[in-house]
Amino acid sequence: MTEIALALVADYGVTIVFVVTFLSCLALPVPSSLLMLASGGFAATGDLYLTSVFGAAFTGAVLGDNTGYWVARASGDRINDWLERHPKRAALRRKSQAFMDRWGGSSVFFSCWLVAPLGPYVNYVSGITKFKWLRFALWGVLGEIVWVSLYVGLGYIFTDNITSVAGILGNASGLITALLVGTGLGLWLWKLSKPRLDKARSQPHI
Amino acid sequence: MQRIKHLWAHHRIMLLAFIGTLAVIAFFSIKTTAAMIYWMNPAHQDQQLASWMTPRYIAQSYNLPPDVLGPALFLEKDMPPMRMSLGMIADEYDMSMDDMQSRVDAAAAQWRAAQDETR
Repeated sequence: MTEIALALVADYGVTIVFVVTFLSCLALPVPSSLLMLASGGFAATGDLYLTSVFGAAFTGAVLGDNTGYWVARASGDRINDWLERHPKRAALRRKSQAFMDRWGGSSVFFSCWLVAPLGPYVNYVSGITKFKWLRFALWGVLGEIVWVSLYVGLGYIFTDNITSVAGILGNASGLITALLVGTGLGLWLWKLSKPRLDKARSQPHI
Repeated sequence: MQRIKHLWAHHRIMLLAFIGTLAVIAFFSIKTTAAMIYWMNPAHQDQQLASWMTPRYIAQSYNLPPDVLGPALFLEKDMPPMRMSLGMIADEYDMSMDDMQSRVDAAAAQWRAAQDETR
């Protein structure tokens, strides 16, 4: 898959970069990070133009984010009905709504690049919870500027060994995402285990 | 300990998910470290050839001037290729990727030896 995608860039240029970044923002398993690194490398060697690489990756990512958002938002009512039918799902929906109201902007921004594996899902959640589109779009654009600059830039600088850099970045990004998920889960479990403990302690006095 | 017992009794799936996440963290920590160690080793500076690479890319990765790399890739000097992949070249000359690798390695070794002599 990776080899094929890279060969396509060599053969067809930035069009492939556009298509792949677009698809990756919809949670499809395409090697977008490696592709941006490689096209940054191709820009450094003169096989591609840096501005068109940047433009294609950025446009693809922003259009992909917004497609995910609007697809989720359009089917939002149906998904919401399904969520509300079960109390546990309804609670989850309310929690995500509260989370997005409070942390929505920064979630969209950081999920574009720092915890990129979560990006597509944040787009979908934003759409389902009817997060304000303008806010979503602005934070998304800022996040994608960072994402594209980071990967294309690193590819441009470390042209000599793209696959090694891609290995480091891929694993580091997985690590950061796992750390974030682990911290969130840990804090939640900690909170869940607390009130019951108080109750258990107070029980003998009754 | 009491907390863990409570979680195990009432939120088992979440607790297992948390333990699973810890395992994933350990996995990616090891992989990230390994990738960095690999990257910092100068012996791995020449990237193994792959069919997606272009002649310009190989020249950059192996730090070779075009007139050294060109003949190894069957390229003539007056046709500067923009984005022609190594896979295409190999197909055209009916060569495997290993054949191309040894051609480039030979050219690089010869050129580097010559560079050392002149120093």
